[in-house]
Amino acid sequence: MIRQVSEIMIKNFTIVNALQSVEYIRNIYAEKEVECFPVTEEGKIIGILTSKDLMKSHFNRIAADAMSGKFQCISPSTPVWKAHELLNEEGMDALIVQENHELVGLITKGLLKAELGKHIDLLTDLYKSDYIYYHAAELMEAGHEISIIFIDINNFGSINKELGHIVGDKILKEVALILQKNLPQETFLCRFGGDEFAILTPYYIHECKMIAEKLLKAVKAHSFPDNVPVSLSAGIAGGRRHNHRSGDTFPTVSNLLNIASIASTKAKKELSNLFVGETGFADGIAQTYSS
Amino acid sequence: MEIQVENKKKAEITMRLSEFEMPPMQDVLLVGKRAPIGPEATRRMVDILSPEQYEIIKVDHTVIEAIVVRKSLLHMLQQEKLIDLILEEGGKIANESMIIKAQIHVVLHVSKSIDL
Repeated sequence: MIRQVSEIMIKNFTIVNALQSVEYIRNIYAEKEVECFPVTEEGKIIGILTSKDLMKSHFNRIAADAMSGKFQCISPSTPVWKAHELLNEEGMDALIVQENHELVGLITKGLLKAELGKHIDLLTDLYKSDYIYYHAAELMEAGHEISIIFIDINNFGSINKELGHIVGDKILKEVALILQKNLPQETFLCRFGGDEFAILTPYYIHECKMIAEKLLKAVKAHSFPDNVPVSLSAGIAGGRRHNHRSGDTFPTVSNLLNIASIASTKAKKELSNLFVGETGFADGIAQTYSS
Repeated sequence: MEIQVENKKKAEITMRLSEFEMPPMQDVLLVGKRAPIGPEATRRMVDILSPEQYEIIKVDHTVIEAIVVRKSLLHMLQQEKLIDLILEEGGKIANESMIIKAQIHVVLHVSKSIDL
């Protein structure tokens, strides 16, 4: 499930008054090591005072004159990915979590960095699958059709066994880079696990197939370390509905990922490289493409 | 024989009395970016001491954060021209941690000719 800000937010925060001095707040900071303080006046939040503000402001200044932090209010159910987008896009320093107009928590850059670090694959620097679930939900809510390309590296087990895991890791890194370079901006790539990658696209099946074929060709044309021949198999799911997908997004995305992964395995077995899976795929409704 | 030590303490007091300048900020205040008093505190101080007489203008300058200007000056001169002038002269002597007060006298010279 996609993590929400309520699961990670700072609940034990200190509110300061607009007229309190920087010196006074610095003492609180030294005691509690809080990253930022909501600044209020007559019960309303008027700004955010960050630890950086405290460092650079004269100790005599009032909070209202030291605060430079931009902020925005969000609800506790906001996904952590959305919070991350807001902080980056809007250049915010912190997010105020409000429930029924009441301040219930704080989200800071540092906090989100630590949380999202858990969703980044250390080898390839790609996000893990949680990233795809969030963006799929966003696209579906915006009324887009979605499709998934599931990719795995052919004979990766043998590469690891015969050439060693170091070479295997290098190949994984390079494949990740090739995929990143060759994907349109509006798609979302993640390392799904092992030698598997998943790509979420907002495209219909035809465009999705073209992208998959482009990726397979790009990897085939690349020279890998020790001249190891590397090729990919890909499976595609989704990208066929012209009506809005309704219901919970999580099972929909899980289902599409599953169909695409089965299609990719089938492509690998049949040496066809690209396979389009459909709902009811198990019944054998499928189409093969050679790259 | 007992020695007697005499301790004496004296305090000299000097007083200087003068009238409190009203308003204390005169015509213009230049508030440095790291001055002990920021624009918001200045606004509150000015609003209490001389309500509705001053305007606070935040400026984009390397060391000056804001300028507090007596509104009557803005009736006589265009804001942009006045601010440019203040920043040009004030910017030469101000630094980030200073608050500088300035007196500005505006004299309008008008010369007209009429047909006799």
